[in-house]
Amino acid sequence: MTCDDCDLLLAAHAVGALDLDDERRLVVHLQGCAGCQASAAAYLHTADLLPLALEPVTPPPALRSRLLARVHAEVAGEERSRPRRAPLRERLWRTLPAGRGLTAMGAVAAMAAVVLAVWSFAIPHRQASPPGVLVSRACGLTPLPSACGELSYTPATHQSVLTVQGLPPLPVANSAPLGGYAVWLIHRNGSPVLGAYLEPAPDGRTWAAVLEGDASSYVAVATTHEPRIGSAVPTGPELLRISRPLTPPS
Amino acid sequence: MLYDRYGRLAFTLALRVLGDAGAAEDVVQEAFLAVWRRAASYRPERGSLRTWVCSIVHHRAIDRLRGRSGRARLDLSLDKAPPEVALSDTWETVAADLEREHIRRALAELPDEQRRTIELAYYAGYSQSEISSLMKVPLGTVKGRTRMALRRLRSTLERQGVEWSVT
Ligand SMILES: [Zn+2]
Repeated sequence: MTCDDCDLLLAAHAVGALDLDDERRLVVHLQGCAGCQASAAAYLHTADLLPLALEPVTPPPALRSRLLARVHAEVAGEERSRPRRAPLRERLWRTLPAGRGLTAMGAVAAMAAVVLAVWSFAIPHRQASPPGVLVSRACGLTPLPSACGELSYTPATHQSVLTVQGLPPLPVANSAPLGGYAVWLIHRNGSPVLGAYLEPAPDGRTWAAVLEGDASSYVAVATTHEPRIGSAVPTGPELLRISRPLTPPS
Repeated sequence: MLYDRYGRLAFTLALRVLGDAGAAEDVVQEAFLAVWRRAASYRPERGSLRTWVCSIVHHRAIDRLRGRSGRARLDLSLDKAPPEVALSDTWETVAADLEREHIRRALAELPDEQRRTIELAYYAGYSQSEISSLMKVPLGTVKGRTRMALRRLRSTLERQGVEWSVT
């Protein structure tokens, strides 16, 4: 197949109209052709605008509840079907600080927050048996003194979990939440690198994010509200800063 | 959660492709579950969450339409997308109506046969060979029209000053 043949197929692929045998040929060519890979992206990004031309239709509210129920059932199912290996929920749960008078409801909310955090962040695949969890806590800076958070780090898995309470709901624009709460990893020289976005628990009070990677690469995490998802630098005021945990929890 | 941000767009798209609210709900639910399961493969620097969610919804709606399910699909939408053509999420939250008008106008400017080809493919889920039979033109013509349509759409939107980059 020539690059021109490939280009024709890429356009068809972008609008989802590729016939099956063409799809196979396309894959073979693309694997060895950087030029066509770039064209593929350009066609896809044009086609990706097409849903925005449609008159929006609001889905029934029950769809949201059904979806949440499925997510929770699936996480619970994972636990049942793989009893020998600590499932995602439990692994994350163990990284959360335990026994600080969380009520049953609070525990559920915190767990749900972690489960939902997985929507945006990497699912850990490593075998996890954390020997120790390091925790640090802090409350909000001047713009938002009500916000308090905990950062726990499990050295064995190189995974941190940030949970924050007391954040207001995201502002709304065009009946959708505007932007998100970004978590920045603050490096030794003070430069921030985007780590994750916080996701809310269904109760709206607890927010959580999972941060992958060795925590010794940063000295603190900070949270800002970013009106624009994907911004590479913080634009909003810093709402909360927590130093990297260095000592085991008391 | 992601659903609150993109559920409406996802449902709108699935409903348009499938033409049935119940089927659209099923597809949206399965698509968001897939998003959750595959969260590890999302790379923010390679495209907006909106793009990612929509491509999963679209693939699944078309698979359902064609009666195939669970088939591994060629998924180029993310890994091959260089950051310079990624669209920002600001769009859908701040300027949704403006975009809608821009994109509709750009579609309207396409020659009829090109617009029809794109609509049959993207919104109605027909394959190239099916469109060839429907429009009674050779397969090569369908492919050519699809490519021309996307190229024109893009250049029209660029001319209208629609934002193509994140920064
Ligand atoms: Zn090529």
